[in-house]
Amino acid sequence: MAAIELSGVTKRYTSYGFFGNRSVTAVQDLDLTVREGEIFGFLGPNGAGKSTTIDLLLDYAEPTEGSVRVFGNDIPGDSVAARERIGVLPDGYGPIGERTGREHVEFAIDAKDADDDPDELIERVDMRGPDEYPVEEYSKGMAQRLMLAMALAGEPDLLILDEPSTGLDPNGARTMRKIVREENARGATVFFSSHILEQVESVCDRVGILDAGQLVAVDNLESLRAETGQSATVTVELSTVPSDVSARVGEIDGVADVRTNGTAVVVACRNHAKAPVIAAFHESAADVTNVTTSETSLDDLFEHYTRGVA
Amino acid sequence: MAVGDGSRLGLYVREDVRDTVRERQAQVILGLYALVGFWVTNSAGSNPAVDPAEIDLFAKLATPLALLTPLLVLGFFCSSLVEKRTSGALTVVLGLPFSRKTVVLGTLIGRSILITGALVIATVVAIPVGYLRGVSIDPVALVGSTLVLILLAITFTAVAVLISATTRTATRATVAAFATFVIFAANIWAQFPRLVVYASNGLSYPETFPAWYDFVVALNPMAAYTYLIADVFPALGGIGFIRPPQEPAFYERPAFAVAVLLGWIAFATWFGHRRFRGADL
Repeated sequence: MAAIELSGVTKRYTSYGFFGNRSVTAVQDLDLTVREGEIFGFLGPNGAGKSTTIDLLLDYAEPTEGSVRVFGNDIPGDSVAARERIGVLPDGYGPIGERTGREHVEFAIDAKDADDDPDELIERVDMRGPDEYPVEEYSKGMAQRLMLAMALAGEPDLLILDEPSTGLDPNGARTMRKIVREENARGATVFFSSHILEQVESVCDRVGILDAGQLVAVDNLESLRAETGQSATVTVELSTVPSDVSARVGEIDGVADVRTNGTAVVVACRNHAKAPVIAAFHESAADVTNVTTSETSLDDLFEHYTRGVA
Repeated sequence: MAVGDGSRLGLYVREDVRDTVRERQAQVILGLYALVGFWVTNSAGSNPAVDPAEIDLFAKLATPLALLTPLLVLGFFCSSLVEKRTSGALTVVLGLPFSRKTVVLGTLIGRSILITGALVIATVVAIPVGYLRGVSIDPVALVGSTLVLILLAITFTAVAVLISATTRTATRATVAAFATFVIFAANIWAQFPRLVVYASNGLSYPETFPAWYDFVVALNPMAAYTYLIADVFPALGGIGFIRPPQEPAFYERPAFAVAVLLGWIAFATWFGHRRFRGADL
């Protein structure tokens, strides 16, 4: 069974006014399946519809068209049954009353009818100490840790994390990634949205890229890199740049793009073309002073799929 | 999942009541009612012009509480849900397995417990003060009038939760709550059918108003409360702008008045949940 199934989902927000109504389509005809047990990264620029999609999964909002299912439960009809199996780190949250962090965690444990030890959850997200303060006094990063601790209550089968690393310091971000991997190893499916691409790259099995409310790509990162026609970048620094370099290197099978930057030549190519590219420069009249290679960055991928609007 | 729903409702009610304590709302309301219970009874019993033995404690207590309670309930509880919505607390609560019905019902029950406690405290404080001042205490009337007040308080709690569930900002909720109080307490409610009668009678008032006019007037919860106590506790008389009729029709009798108050609780809860269920956070 799929953990998440979205089929033909459209969400339009309409505001009614005396001088006419205004309508904004946040998500358009979205089809998406997230398999049980995978870590799925949900990417997209600001305003792409990521949080709206998560709102639909959690019954924070109703779809205008289409069907939403989580573990086979129809949303919104069976949303409580679905949320019994979900741990959520939502966007736009606030403290529940004037509770301390610990009281929030205890509330989540009680609501899930679980028998977790609040101390263990608090320890796991590194918020020992602040757990005794009212959450209203928390920094953004500490509040994110608290929400993560609440999300972990009851060993959920699905973790939905909306921009989980927002406000986290590097240690917090590392802890978050570690917890995501641990939960996945336990058997949980993880669905998280982010625009911090390194986070996605380091933990995700597959990614979906949303742009202007539409899903523009879904696959693993390697396949997406291959689809863009470039999976590596070779930067060759030379004593001088031969005039015919672009033409000669551009003819090599697997080369997508050749650019000159001063005495450096940057070649975007498939992995198998890297060696022939470097060899071509060695065979040229110029002296090769340095060679660096790297995979196509996720930034480039992101820009490719989202038309550079991020 | 009926059992799970029931235990989650219990959990939500418990946490809602605890929230009112954490936010000092419970202390303020309970303290205020204790003060009113003391002050009303003490001042009634210390009036040298009146023999305290001729004063009924329940009558002295019920009249101010019947006006104060709707005002305080609407004022304090109209923000119960809308504040959680604007602060993002509902996002956290509804990320947990609580249904929206649980949230609406839990808020109604939690706040009803609080206002019931406040009315009981006002009565409990008033009894020894009244006893010391020599005020006449009829235990049956006192318990009965407190129970009717509790029914009125729960009715307005349901209306306050309805306002809170259907507004998007605390400011709008406060304005709506104040307007609701004026409409019911000042009996502006009666002006709506009056306008219909005026319009349907060629822009003039008829010599005798049709029976349905009085029927609609009787649907005002404050009118229902007045008709109820007028029959059961005649010593109380009317409250505010509403006077009990000399010859009550069936819709001005206690049984119908109780049905009106229960009807408001049921309607406000149903409609509040219906609107809240379909609302985007």
